[in-house]
Amino acid sequence: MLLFSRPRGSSLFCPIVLVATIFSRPVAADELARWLPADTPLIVELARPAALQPLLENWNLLPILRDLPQVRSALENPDLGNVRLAVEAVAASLNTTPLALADELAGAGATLAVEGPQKYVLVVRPNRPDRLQPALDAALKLVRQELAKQNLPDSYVTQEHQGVSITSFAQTGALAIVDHQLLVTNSLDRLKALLDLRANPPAESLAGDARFAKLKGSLADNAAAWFYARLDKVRAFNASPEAAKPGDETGGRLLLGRWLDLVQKGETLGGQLIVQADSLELKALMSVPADVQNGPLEVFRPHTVGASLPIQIPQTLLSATLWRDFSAMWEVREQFLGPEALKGLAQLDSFAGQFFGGRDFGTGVLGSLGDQWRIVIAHQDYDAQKPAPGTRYPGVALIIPVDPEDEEFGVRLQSAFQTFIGLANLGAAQSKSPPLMLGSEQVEGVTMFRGTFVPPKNAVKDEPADDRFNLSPSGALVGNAFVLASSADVARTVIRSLKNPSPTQAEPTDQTKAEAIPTLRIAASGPEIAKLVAINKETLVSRNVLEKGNSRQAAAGEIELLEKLLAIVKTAHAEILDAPDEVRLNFHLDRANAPTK
Amino acid sequence: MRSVRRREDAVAAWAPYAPSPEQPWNLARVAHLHRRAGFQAPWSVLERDLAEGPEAAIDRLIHGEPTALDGQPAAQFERTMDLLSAESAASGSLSRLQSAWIYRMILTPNPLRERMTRFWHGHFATSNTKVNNLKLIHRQSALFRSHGMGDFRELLSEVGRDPAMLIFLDSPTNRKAHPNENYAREVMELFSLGRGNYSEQDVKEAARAFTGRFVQGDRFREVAAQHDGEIKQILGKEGVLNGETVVGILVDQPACARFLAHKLYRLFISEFDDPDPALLEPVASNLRAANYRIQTTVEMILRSRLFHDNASQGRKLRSPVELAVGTVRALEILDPCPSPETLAAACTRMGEALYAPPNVAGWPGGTEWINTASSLERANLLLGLLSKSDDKLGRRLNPEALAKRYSFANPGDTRNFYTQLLVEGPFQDGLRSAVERQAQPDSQEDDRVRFDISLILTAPEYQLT
Repeated sequence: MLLFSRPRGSSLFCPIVLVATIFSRPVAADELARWLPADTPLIVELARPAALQPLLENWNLLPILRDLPQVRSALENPDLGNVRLAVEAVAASLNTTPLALADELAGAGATLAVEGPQKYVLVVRPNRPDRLQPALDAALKLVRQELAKQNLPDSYVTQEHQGVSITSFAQTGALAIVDHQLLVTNSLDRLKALLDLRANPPAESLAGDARFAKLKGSLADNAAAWFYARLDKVRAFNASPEAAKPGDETGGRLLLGRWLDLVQKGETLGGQLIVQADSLELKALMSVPADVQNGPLEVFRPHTVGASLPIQIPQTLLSATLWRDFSAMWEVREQFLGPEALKGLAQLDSFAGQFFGGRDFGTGVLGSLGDQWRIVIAHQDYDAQKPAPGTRYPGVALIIPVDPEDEEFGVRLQSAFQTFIGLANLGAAQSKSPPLMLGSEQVEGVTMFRGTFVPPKNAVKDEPADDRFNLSPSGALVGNAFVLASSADVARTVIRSLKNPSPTQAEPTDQTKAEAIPTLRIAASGPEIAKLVAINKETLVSRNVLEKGNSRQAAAGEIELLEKLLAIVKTAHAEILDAPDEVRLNFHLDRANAPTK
Repeated sequence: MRSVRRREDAVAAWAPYAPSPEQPWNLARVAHLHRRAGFQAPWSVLERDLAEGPEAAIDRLIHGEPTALDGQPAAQFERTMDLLSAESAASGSLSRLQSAWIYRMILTPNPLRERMTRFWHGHFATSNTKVNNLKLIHRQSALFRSHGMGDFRELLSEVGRDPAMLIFLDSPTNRKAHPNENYAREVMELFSLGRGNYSEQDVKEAARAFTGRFVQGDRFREVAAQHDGEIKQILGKEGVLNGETVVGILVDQPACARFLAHKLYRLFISEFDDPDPALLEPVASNLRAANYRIQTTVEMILRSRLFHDNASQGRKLRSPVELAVGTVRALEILDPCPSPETLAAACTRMGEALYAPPNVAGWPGGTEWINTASSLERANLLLGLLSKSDDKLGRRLNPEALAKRYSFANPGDTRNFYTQLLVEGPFQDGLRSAVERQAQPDSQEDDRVRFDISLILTAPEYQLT
């Protein structure tokens, strides 16, 4: 038997934890936080393993996970096979099954603290503390038998420290049963130090850290798991001078605003996972560094009215609303953009003037825009597309907020759209590409301008039409919004929706007194995205073949797996809320085929 | 120059090869046949063709195998690949269209057809860089595939009406009042006769004959009003000549068969020799006698003594596509195969961007394939295929398992197996000794085999074919 061909104390227990967490009952515990320093880089706790059960039962994730290539390859790993054999052997020696043993030994949860690269502390909480010592003895006995069989030295040493029996194994770690829990580290010295701290708790610890305490205080009763990270410490793991240098990130900066600084400079990040029969929720909270608070990047944070609910039109795949006051940003651009970016914006300033009748870009153009920027990605009427493109792309509509009092600006936007089509045709003429024919139509009393490609008269049989036939760029001014869309069909639907708003599209209210105001809201539909995948399945299979070299059968398998994953989700919602000193991310998934409430 | 003193020598050179004690049908000849007439072949194919003899092996190359390397019946495979290429062209992505062809070449049941398609792509070189329309490029490639082994007269005629070619050589500006000589010049110099076999006046007159050929809505269209219907005189023929009659005049020139014979000699025999015209005459005669049916002449070459002569082995440099596709086929890295997109990108970096030849003369080939940068790219590609961490190219080959499948189990056996599989021929013994000298016996078996293969693949000898 190849089992235990080399000492692997730590790897022996990890699968037990994993398996055990699936079938267990909740027991809260955070003793470890009292022994760890306040700047511990990362701590993750599986607080209620049983709470993950709906993922298997209601969400039916197991068969999908099994089909994932990465999981398949991991399951075929011989090391994992050895560990499985070890678990079976220990369970058999205790007259139980591996799953039952896992529940007994780790069913009350586990906490992992990462203190540095390759430095960790793991606490595993059993449902049956009385079974810990016998299981440990049985495992060690097996290991020693195997080592003897292979004429290898017994590198497992047992010693006492602070009244606790510690078992250490050469180079790979140490473990001990402490307060009816299993404590595992990858260093004997660290385990001894933790036992010293247990005997003489330090004055300052992670448990006493205000931000950590805030996270713990915010945990929902039904949170299955939570984590807390000191991002400054985590970043230091992979610190390199190149990574520290800020790049020219104009696009990212204008879109992401101060969130970009949070990724680069934020100090703490905490979050919790809540799993229910029909929904899954992730809530995260990130602290804003002091130098970002009250600085020029404050212009990226809404102070009164935040992002409205995303617009929903029929067959929407994804819809988002972003709050951005570009005019205010323009005023302070020199304080947060580099010289290269500013040079580019100066060029944009003079170039954009040509499209908007010589208006000043900052005040005349950006100043005439509102702060609710909405984007909708929705299916087109694919059946109506003539000719039918080889790949069907959904339409994208950007709904640009316009100052209703600046009537002339709306006209300028319509004119700019037509100029753009003309310029595109000039470029097309130079590159021998087909032109867009400009036309207009009335939709709900609104004049919509659109460009369309002329279908070829003598298409070759069996030759799919170009993907460009997905495009029919359109623009229309609807009240205080300018709709700019890649597809006339989607533009029409958006215009109708804006002319006849549903109650959920009500304007956002003043949230000045709210703790945090939403800056970005996203809603996505699993079935609609799945429909897009299904429509383009053959194309996706072909692309998979050419990108990965898979056979068509294997490629089809990967696309079907994607369809299965999408089929689980009914809707996904995400929102980012900004407060002066923190940013919150809420992510919510609703399960498909859940019973109607 | 490979000189031939007597006409009898040339006739003897192209006489059918028959195995003899001096020139046996051995593994080196089987491997040579597949390297030149297809790409490389898997070991099972080499063994089968060794057992069944040259006639059967060449027949299979001419007519194709019944199944592709992915197990699909040949006809079904071709349909699937046609669809894949059409989809890729419609997407507007050149890299996707390139990779669709690479993928087809790797798995094809008809490697000779793909080789001929690639040959005509280089002969009638047309670049999407100027055409800027992948559908037209794809249609042209399909034309080379369907006509590549057929009647050259018909192929030349079709090329003269091919929208991609017309755009590439400025035919839409070739009008009655202002003839553009681009196509007329290249059809004589590069497509049919070669320099020195026509006059400047012939080019001017031919340009008039080709006037009025346009591309409208991606289709060929003749506009009578823009065609010069007056009398012309081309290569001694006079009359109201148009594009079609010019094709007939060109193909009827004695120089046309000689020109094509030289190109086929470079394709199948050697690109390092400048053959004596007398040596090529039997090939040219065969072309004329066969009414320019290319398959007849290709068969004659592949069955000839000269083709199977020891001296013909290793007389060509592998092009980047031959290197990539051949290595993947020989090592049977097929399910999954290395990422076709990554292979196509590597070929582009090595100097062979499919559908984008450097100019109308195509790729010069031969030693032009090798320079400092391309040598490095070649090594990177081949080592990528052996890599255990490269997601795009590596992590697919199990060299121990492949050798064991063919009953080569111990270290000496596997080294023999891979030397025979990859370089069977004149360099085999020297290269095997070199590999043995550098062997790493203390490594784990898998690493040892990979190291051996890496020595073979990166050896200068492996670049030859």
